[in-house]
Amino acid sequence: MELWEITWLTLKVSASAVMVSILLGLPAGTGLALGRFRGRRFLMALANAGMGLPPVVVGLTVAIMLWRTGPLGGLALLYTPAAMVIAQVVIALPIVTGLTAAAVQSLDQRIRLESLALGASTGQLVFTLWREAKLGLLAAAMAGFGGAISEVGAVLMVGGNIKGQTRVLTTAIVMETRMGHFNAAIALSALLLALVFFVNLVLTYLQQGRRP
Amino acid sequence: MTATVDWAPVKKSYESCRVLDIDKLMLGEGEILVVAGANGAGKSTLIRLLALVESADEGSGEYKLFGEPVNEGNRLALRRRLAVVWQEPYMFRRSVYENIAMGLKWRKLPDGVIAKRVKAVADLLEIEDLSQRAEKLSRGWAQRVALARALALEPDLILLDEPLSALDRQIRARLLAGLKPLLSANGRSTVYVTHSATEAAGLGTRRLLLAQGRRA
Repeated sequence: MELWEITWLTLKVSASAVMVSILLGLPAGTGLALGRFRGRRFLMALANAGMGLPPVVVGLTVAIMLWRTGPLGGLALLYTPAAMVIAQVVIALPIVTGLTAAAVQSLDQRIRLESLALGASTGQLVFTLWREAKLGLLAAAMAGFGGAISEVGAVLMVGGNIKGQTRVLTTAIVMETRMGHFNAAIALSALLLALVFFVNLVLTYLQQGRRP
Repeated sequence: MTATVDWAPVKKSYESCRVLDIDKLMLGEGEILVVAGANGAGKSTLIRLLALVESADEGSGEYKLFGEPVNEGNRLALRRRLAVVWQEPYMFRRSVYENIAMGLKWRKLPDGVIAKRVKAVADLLEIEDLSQRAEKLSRGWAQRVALARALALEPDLILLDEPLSALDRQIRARLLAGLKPLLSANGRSTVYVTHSATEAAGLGTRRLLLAQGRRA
C-alpha cells in the first residue's frame, strides 16, 4: 500500500512540475528564439546555464525561500508535495526553456514567411511553429521530466522524506540504502526505472507518430 | 477605381546596403505586373515587402494597399486579402490537403467551403493525391501545391515569385494557360516575378524590369 502511495506521489509531483515547466518554458523558449530585444542573449545564456543547476543548491534556495522566516514562509509549503513541485520546476524549467528555444530556432526560416503570407495571426503562427517543432519540443518535455523525476537532493531538502506525505521513490531509495536494505532499494530503483521508461515510451510514441 | 498597390517611393536596405529603390509602384485592379530582372535585382525583396512580411525602410512612402494606408492595426486584415507563392515554398509537415486548406482554416471558413475550394484548385493544378505527406514532395510538386494553396484563398492580390520555375517547359506552358484567366479574374491583381522572357511576354499587362534594385 505504501509502495503504491510513494509511486503515485512520485508521478504526481514530477508530472505537475513538468506541466508547469511546459506552461512557462514553452512560451519563454519561443520568445527567446524569436524575439529581438535587448538582453535576449543574456537570458538565453541564463536558461542554458540553468540546465546544469546543482540540485542541492536549488534545494537550499527553495528551502530558504519557504522557511518559516523566509519571504514565502507564510505559505507554509515547506515539507509538502507543493514544495517538491517548486524545487522540480526550478530544475526542469531551464531544461524545457533552453531546449524549446533551440528547437524553435532551428526551424526552417520559411515557416514564418509562409505562415504570415497565408494569413496567420500571431497566435496561429506560434502554434504552427510548435507543431513544426514537435520532435524537439517533445524531446524538451522528456528531458524536463527526466531531470525532475530523477532528482533527489532538492526534494529531500524541501520535502523531508516524510512517510505518507512527501516520500517519493528517489528519497525512499536513499533512505533504504542508508539503512542497509539493499534489496528494497534495488526493488524501488527498478520501479523508478520502469516508471521513467513507461512515461518516455508514451512521449516517444507521440513524438514519432506513425513512423515504424 | 482604387489602385490595388500605390507606393512611392519603395526603399529597402539590409545592413546599410540598399537592395531596393523604386521611385513609384502602382498596380490597378485586374492588372498583371510582370517583374523581371537578374538574380539579386531585388525581385524577391519586393514580393516580401508587398506581402507585408517585411517592412520597408523609413525613407519609403506610405504603402497603400487596396486603398488603405498600411499600419499595425490593419496589417493582418490586409494580409488576408493577398496570397503569395514563394520561389522555394515551404511544405508544412502534414498532408497536401491540409497544406492547401491551412490559410482557409485560419480564416475560419466552414469545412464544406474549404473542401470545395481545395478540390477546385487541386483539379486545376492536376494534383491528384491529396492525402500524401507534403514535406516529401519534389520541388516541382511543392510549387504546384503552393500555387493551389494561394489560389484557394481567392485573394484580391496574388504575388508569384517564379512560381513554376521547377516545372518542365511543357507542364509550365499548360499550367500557365490554365492559370492566366485566374490571375486577373474578378478584379484580382497579380505581381508575377519571372526570369523567363516567354512567360513574361505571354502574361503581363504591365512590366517592371529591375537591375540592382532599381527600375532599369
